[in-house]
Formats: sequence, C-alpha cells, structure tokens
Amino acid sequence: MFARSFAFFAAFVSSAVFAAAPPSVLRWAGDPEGGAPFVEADPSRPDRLVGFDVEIAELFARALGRTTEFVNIRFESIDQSIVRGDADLGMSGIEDTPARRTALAVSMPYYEFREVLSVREADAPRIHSLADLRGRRVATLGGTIAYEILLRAQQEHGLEPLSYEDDVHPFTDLTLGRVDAVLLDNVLAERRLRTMGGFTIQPQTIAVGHYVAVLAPQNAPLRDAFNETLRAAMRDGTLERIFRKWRVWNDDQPALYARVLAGEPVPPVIGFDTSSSAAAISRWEATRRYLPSLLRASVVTIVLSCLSMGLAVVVGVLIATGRVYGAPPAQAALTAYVELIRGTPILLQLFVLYYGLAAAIRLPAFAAALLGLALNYAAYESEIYRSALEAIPAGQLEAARTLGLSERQVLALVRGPQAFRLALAPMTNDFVAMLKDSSLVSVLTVLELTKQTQIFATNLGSWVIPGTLCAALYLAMSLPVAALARWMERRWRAAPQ
Amino acid sequence: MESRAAVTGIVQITGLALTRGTRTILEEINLTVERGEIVALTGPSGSGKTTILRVIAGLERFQAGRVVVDGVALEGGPPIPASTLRALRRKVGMVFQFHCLFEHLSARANVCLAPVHAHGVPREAAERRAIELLSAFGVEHRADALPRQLSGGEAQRVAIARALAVDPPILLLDEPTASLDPQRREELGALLEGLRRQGRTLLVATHDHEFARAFAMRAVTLRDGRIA
Repeated sequence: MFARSFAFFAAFVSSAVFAAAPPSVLRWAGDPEGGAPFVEADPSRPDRLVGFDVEIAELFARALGRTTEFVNIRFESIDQSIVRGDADLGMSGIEDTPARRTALAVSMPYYEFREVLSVREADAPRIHSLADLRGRRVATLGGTIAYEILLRAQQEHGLEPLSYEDDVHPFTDLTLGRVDAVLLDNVLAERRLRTMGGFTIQPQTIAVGHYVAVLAPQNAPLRDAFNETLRAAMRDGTLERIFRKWRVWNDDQPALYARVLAGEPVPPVIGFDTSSSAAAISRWEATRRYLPSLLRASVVTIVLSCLSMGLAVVVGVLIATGRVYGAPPAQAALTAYVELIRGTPILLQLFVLYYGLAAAIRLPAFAAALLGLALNYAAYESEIYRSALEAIPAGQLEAARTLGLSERQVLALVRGPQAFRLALAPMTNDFVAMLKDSSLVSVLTVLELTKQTQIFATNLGSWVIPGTLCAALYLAMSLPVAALARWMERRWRAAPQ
Repeated sequence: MESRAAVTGIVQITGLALTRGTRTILEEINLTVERGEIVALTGPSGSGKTTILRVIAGLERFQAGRVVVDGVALEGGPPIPASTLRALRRKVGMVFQFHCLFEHLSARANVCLAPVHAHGVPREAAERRAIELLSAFGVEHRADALPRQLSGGEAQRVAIARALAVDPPILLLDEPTASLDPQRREELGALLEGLRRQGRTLLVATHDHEFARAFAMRAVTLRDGRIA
C-alpha cells in the first residue's frame, strides 16, 4: 500500500517537473517525398535529412537552445497536424495564403518564388501564358496557389486543371505527353529541370508567392521568436548563404528582405486576386461555391465505382469459374493472380499501372483508375464467387447432371443463380467499400469526391463543413445501394421462380 | 440372391469393380434387372448399395467390368464419353436420399427444368406435364412452394416427379424411406407399385428390410462391396 502511494506520488511530482521545464526539442514537420530542395533524405546518407528548410529549422532550434526532431507528415496534412499539435512548426515549401493566415499562426515570409509555366520544348514557341492553354491539360500540385490559379483559368481560358499529390509526376507526365503544361514554383520547376530535363521553363511570371512556416494559432509567441531568428538571418546573410548553397538565391530575395525588415506588409500572393478565395469569403458562401464541384466529383466517384465494380464482377466471375472448373495450370495461374493482388497494396498497383507501365502503354488517368480498381476488386470478388460456387451442395449438381443438363447448364441454371444469391451480401459490402476506395485514384489525378473535399478544406482552412458534406454525399450514394441489396435478398428469398 | 448375367435384362452389370485409392468399394458385381421389376438393394451402411445406383446413373467411374443400361454400354477404365452419358440420361432417373431439389426454384420449376433445357420441350407443355406429375403424387397444391417450404414426404414426391419428368424407363431411388413415417412409407410403396405397372423398372437402395420385403419383387443383399 505504501509502495503504491509512493509510486503515484513520484509519478505526479515527475510529471509536474517535466511540465514546468522548457522543452529541449523543437519538433518540426515536413514532407521529404519529392521534397528537394526544401527537405529530402540525403542521397549519400538516407537516414539524414537535408534541404534549406532543414537548415532554417536547425538555425531556429539553435537560437532557442534546443535540438530538432523531424516529424514526417504528408504535405497536404501539415496544416492539420500543426493544429493538432503533432509538431511545433511546419515547413516544406509551405505557401503563404489567406486561408493559412486565417487558420494558423503564419511566420513572416522568408523566400519569394514565382509561379511559372513549364512546357515541352516543342511547345515553347506557342505557349507563354495561361490564355494559350485553352482546351489543354495543365498539371500542378493540389491544394496550392497554383491550383487556385488554374481553377480560375479554367473559367477564364477554358483549360483543364489536373491536381497531383506530389511535384515529380506533373513533370514526368509533361514529358510523356499526358499533360501540356505544368504550373508550379520556379524553385520546383528548376530543380526538376536539372534532375530530369525534357522540358523548358517559360520566363513569364504568372504570379508571385512566398514560403512561410506555420504554427498552431495558440503558438504565436513561438512564431514571434521564429520571426526574430529570420530577421537576424536576413540581416547577417545567413539566409543568403543557405539559399545560395541550395542554388535558389536570386535577385527577388534582397527586395523581399528589405520590405520585411522595413516592416512593410507583404501580401500572400502578388499577381493573383485572392479576395474571392475560399478563406476570404464567408464559410456559407464558400460552401455554395464549392457545392457544384463536390457534386461533380460525386458523379465521378459513382460512375468510376459502378464501371469498376461491373468490370470487377465480370473478371471475378471468370476467375472464380476458372478456379472451380479450369485445368490445373489455369487454376494455378488464377490463384497466383489472386494472391499477388491481395498481397500487394492497391496504391502500388495503381502507380504501376499508371506510371510504371507508361513506357509501354499510356493509359489515360480515368482508364487507369477504372482498370486498377476493377483488377484489384476482381481478385476479392473471385474469392467470394468461388466460395459461393463451392457452397452449393454437390447433390444438387449431381441431380442436375442425372437429369441430362450439360455442365454449362448446371452452372448457368442451378449453381450460378444460387451462388449469386449467396454472394450478393458480400458483393454489396464490396461495392460500398469501392465507393470509398475510389478516393485512392486521386493519386492518378482523377478528381473524385475525397480529393475535391480535400481541396475545399485546404482552401477553406477547415475540415468541418467540407468533411460533413463529403460524408453526406458518400452516405447518399452508399445507403441506396445497401437498401437495394436488402430488397433483392428479400425478394429472392420469398419469391419462387 | 441374384448373381446371374442374363442377356434380356434392362440393366446388366458384369464383373463390376470400383476402388477409391487403395479402398475397394465394389468387387465382382454381377447383376441383371429385368424390365418392369422392382429390385431392392439391401445391406448395411457402406456395403455399396448407393454406389451401384451411382454407377448406373453415370455418376461414378469404375475400374473394371461392364454396365449396360437399356442398350447404353458403360465400360470400366477411362472416363465415360459425353455422348454415352447423354444417351444414359434419357434412360435413367434418380431420386437422391436427401432429395437434392434445386433450392432456388419452386416445386413446379424443379420439375420443368430438365424437360425445357435438356430435352427442348416447349415450356407450356413441360408445365402441363409437371402439374400432371405433381397431381399424380398428390402435391399439386405445393407447386409454387420452394423446397425449404416442403415437408420431407412432399419433397420426396417432388423429387420423384422431377426424375420422371423426362420419362426415363428406369428409376433409381436411394434410401427413399429414410425420412418417412410408417403411413408415408405405405403410400410410397403404393406409388412405386403404380410406377411399375406403368412399365418402369425400379432399383431401390434401402436398409429398410421390411419395406424391401413388402414392395420389392426381389432383394439383392450386399456386404463389403460384394453380393452376398
């Protein structure tokens, strides 16, 4: 009893002491995937991170007397993670936007970039501005200012914006001919041009933006300390040395530093009117504006899911039939297919289908998404159908044979219909799962409901309304499917044929 | 007990041997069934009664011997050719121990399925014939019921109607009294006798000696895969 009381007391005292002590670590978040020159794994020592954001974080940690601890977070989730408290500071080429200024404690800008168009060399004489891209596909990173610029240009110039989840594949798709231009930061475009080539960067500036660090709204004192470190580094040339080392220093930066150090306000974006962006208007007005695009994305989700499920059912039936009735080599090959698909992640399969096979066959994004989902689900469906086929009592099959029915008739008239009824409930379950899994195809630039919601939430700076609307739309799609399946099950159970 | 090989029989089994792996199921079976006979195959469980019916119905491959069913010859050894099986199906109807009705189809649809799809009988004619058969066996009022809604006796009569729908001259019944009370057993016996009078040949596998004595014209007893 005494020992337990003492342990409790000791735990209480030690937690009180630790809570009072200043933290010794600066936790900062970034995304190293395609993150050069901001943050990336050192090619010579992959366990170490390098990049100018890494060096700025270390600079700040030193000023605070702390050490850095890196938190790996997907680029699109950095804002939400910072609000949640997963890290103190977020940096990864994060753009200053009205939405971030509303929802987060944003640092002063420490780098000025230009939004530039990258095009194939053959198109360079023809494409200089967004107006030259009418009817063409233009790629960028989702949830960025560049994406907002493209959405505006879609209305004004009739181009087709494509949202990617990383900054590498827009350029590979540009060289493959899947898109006609890429709108992104000059930092990213120049870096990609050095590493892969095959395109050219147009000199015209579409808009000007700034990189900032983001902190939780209640972390304003830490933000102010970060700003002090930045000011000092601007004055003593430390920032210049860092950016020169990473080959991104240019004449735009001294001008920015002069404005910042003079205390002049710096707008988040120059050359693009953000007054009508989601964060600048009321939430209800933003919802009203985004609702049509969410409904359009729902149509993409339902059409993609229906077509994929239809194909998955057909392929699944063929696989199951082959596994039950086929010759041993066919059975072995089909089993290997099912195990391969079930044993590897669907995201990997989608990447292989869209990017991996691009040298041999260049599938359009929607076709690759449809095929990827269908081939993946076909493996799972085939297992349902196979077990349903094998659940039909052998006596019924023998009875059908003694009556003179051929094997094909036994399958079509006796075994298949009963197996289908057994498979209906798990099939419905899978269809509802596919409605949701279809969100994975956003990695192939297909703009479906979840991706559109993510864009809405990023631009609005909140998940509450977009998340609620998204959930309501998914339910509106899945509940009728479940109701239809229940009705069919009841009907077939009751009505003889 | 029967072990002769007559040339006139509608079913002639000569030197039949069937093994599964190292296990002998049937050995040196010689049996002739005359047209219009009711023959009972009796014996303890596992003696091979049902297997003989399955061989005659073309559901089992056998290693040696010869089985001739109303002129259709099955030879031991290789798989039975599809054309032979097609010819055999017109000769033999089988009623399984657990009826094995198609669970997704009504009683009427169970009876119509083979005439329409395997024998090309127009649906209307097949439906008429189905109702006639169900009426003859006293279950026409259950024509629209699903198998799971039928009693054991009703399901058995529907199964007999289904087997007779394509009018085979030979009917095989596997343990037909297994799920019947004494009164239903009497009714079944009368029904089989009626079928015999129509000129059909019936081969009944049963461990019910009383039923065999009462309704079969003769009984063949099996023990350990041989005719005793």
